[in-house]
Amino acid sequence: MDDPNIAINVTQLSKAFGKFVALKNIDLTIPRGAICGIIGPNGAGKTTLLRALAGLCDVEGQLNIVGHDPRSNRARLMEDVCFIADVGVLPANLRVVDVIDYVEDVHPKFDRAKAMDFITTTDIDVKKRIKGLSKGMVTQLHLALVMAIDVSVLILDEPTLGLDILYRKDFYDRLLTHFHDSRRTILISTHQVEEIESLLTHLVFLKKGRAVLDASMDSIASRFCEVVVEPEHFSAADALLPIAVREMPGAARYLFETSSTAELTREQLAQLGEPRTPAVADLFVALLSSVTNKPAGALA
Amino acid sequence: MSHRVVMLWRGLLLREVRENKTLLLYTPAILLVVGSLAALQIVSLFAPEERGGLLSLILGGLDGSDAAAFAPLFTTVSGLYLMVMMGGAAFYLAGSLYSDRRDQSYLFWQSMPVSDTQTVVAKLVFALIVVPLAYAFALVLAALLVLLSTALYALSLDIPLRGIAELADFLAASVGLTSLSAMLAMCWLLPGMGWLLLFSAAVPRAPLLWALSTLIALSLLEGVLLGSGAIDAWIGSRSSPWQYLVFDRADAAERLLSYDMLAGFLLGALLVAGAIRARSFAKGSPLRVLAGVVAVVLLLVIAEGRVTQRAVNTLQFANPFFDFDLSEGALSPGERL
Repeated sequence: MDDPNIAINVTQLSKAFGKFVALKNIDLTIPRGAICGIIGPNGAGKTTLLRALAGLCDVEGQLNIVGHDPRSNRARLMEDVCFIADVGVLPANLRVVDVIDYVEDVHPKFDRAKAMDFITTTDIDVKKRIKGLSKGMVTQLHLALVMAIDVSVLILDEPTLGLDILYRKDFYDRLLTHFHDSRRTILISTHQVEEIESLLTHLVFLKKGRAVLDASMDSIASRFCEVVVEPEHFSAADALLPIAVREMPGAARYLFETSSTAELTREQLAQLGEPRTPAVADLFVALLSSVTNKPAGALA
Repeated sequence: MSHRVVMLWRGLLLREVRENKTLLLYTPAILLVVGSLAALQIVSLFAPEERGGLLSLILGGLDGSDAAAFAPLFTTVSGLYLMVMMGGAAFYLAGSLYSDRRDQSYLFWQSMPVSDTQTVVAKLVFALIVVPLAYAFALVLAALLVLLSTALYALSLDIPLRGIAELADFLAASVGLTSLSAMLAMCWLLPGMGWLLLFSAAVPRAPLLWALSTLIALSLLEGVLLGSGAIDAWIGSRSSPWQYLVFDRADAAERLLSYDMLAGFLLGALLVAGAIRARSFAKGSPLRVLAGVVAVVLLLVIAEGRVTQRAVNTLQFANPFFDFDLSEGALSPGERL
């Protein structure tokens, strides 16, 4: 695979820790320029998947990240890929300025001035040691370093975990304004779907190490449909095999997958109520709680 | 070398400097201060009529009556410095690849375009070259301070300083030779360094403890099961710091190319390669790598012991200075320089 429009291609990726299956036969294709959310509950395999992509974990299967296999040449890969792990991992005993010096020395694509510009907009004191910074500041610093590196793929594993809402919002704002453009691909894992829903162009749901959904946001709008159904239409709606039903006062929200069965059309659904595109969080809950009860092939 | 390579290595080594100031700066500085204070204490303790012991040794050098007398003192102190350095380096190496796994900062370090080989080799270069230079510098500086203060004291007693030029020459030559001795010591210890790095890269906790206890257990097992002492002989031949001191460059070259040194390089290289492999998180279980490399190294050591039957006399062979008698200054640099 060396399609210039594909940033990440993963085939039959599997990983087990002893008897625990962390990833099972994952296939993913993420186009260049996508902002892809890796969504899953705790323990679904998000961290393992992202570490495998960054060459930090030993896995089976095929991996291609912008033309590199992370297992054979991680150092070369890291010239094109930046990775922020799910825990505050900047070396605690070094001063901020030491870390900036280090990245400047070892990374050929690092722009110091850009990083410093970014840092001056925060409260970070560059003379301080990392361990003297708040958790939010460490994340800001890491983001500042990463933003100043001209890479084509950015992998963020729960980047805002443990931060308050102001830092989280600031983080995603900066990510969009400073980093994202059509050449750059971003992978973000999280279990807080609502916060990044509006950013995403692509969505991957993980459940117990399997990808239960891998789709673009556009295709989700045409593929899934939510209808609020009045009680008198319940039996008609049930007959159309919804993938999830949630009770509401005086009605119920039915979620349908329109592309799985050819005969299920928007027109049919419109007779039950007002069809609309489901929120990612609702889709997530529906797919992750119901997937095992549904006929095979309903959810790819 | 390209600009990129120079920058990369500067970054890698500066990281080690910044993270290991205790080993590199504070400990030599303390040695320097303590060493100099002790010397001053000695000087002030002895009244002129009771010239004896250490002071008379130094004064004998200063006034030219016994030009070679300073050398054994220097040698003894060098050995002490080397001992501290070796201990510090052992802690450093055992902790190096382990500590960033423990605090998870490896996730940051590994996200930079630096290969596992570069990461491990940088630590080796730091221990093999940078640290010895710092200790040699502190040692020579301490010697200079002692000489200077003793010289002032001697002047106050109207003792002529006829020997001072010779001593100054000796010290000047010592800067290079002491650095060389310290680096040679580290080269000689390469198998030990590789052993520590391997454990640092692979074991889940307490790498120093695991490295030492595994080594001791294996050497005991060899004795019980095979009745031989090849591992023990390797450990014994590479433990005392005084045996590494060299007094001229030819000596250093000879030692560097000796069979024992080269055998050590081979084992060391094997162990370091194992550490690099164990460090590669995308290439399988580090403990399996550790077990494999340890097995190969053991086989080599035991086979070498069998073939050459040198297990018994290795200690003597590897230590030309083993029965070096300080009081006679038998190999004093004054004669060799």
